[in-house]
Amino acid sequence: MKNRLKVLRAERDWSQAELAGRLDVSRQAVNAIETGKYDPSLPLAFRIGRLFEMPIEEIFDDEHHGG
Amino acid sequence: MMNITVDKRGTGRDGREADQRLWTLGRVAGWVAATSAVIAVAGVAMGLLAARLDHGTGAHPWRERILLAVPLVVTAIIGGAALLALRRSWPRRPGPDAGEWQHRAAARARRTATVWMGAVAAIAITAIAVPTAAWAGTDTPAGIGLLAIGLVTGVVGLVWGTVRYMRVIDDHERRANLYCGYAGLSTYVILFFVQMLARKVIDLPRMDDAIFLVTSLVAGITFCIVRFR
Repeated sequence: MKNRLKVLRAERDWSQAELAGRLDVSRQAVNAIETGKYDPSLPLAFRIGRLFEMPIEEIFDDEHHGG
Repeated sequence: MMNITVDKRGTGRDGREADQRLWTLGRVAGWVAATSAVIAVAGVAMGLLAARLDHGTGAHPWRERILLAVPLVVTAIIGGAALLALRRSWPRRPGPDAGEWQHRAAARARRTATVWMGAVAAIAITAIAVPTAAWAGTDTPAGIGLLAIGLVTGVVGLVWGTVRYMRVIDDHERRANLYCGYAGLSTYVILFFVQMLARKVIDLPRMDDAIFLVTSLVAGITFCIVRFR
């Protein structure tokens, strides 16, 4: 699943470690999400949405959704 | 002045002081665990070699003594490197100017490290106590006591460590555990049936130790790849 996490993080000038600390996950988890190797669970996706004050669908792009 | 808020994990001022006490306890537990693990590995290696020499494979006394020292030296080198790595990688206490996220990240890393160290310490104590009990003889009070301590510590440590571990890790690490368990189980089942079929066709000795070793390696490597890549 594609996502805008890296862009959103860069806009705030946060490191992966800082974002991981704010989300209470490991730095490797943030890296895995950013590179698309791992899709976060629903609770983590909600935490990400709350942190960036955005709806989940504006951060994550469901490629399988035909529209 | 840094604004400190108290959350449910207890990272506020009161929680911070408790955290700092835990820093020291966690570090001590880490050193005890690592040192015990090194001693356990050395003891097991020397015990195995001594058992082999007792069966008459050693031709010269001086050679036996040198051979007995080899595992100790190798373990000391590996253990020294492991202790150095532990000292360098142990989660650092955030400085006074650190933000709240840094305290949260450090507390999270420390919780995980402490659980790992606790589990390693429990395994190490078991690995020391059980062979020592066998050496002392299970028909003596000391042997029975050591055996009981070793088994109880191992079981309680592993159960406690697993429960605590699954509570402190994040989704990503939980997924790594899932993959690691699946890879380990698949490896074990495949190798077990290969051995069973091979033993029916040819006169092959049982290779349970090798299967255990390969299964552990596959599980460990899978965990590291998924968790740290």
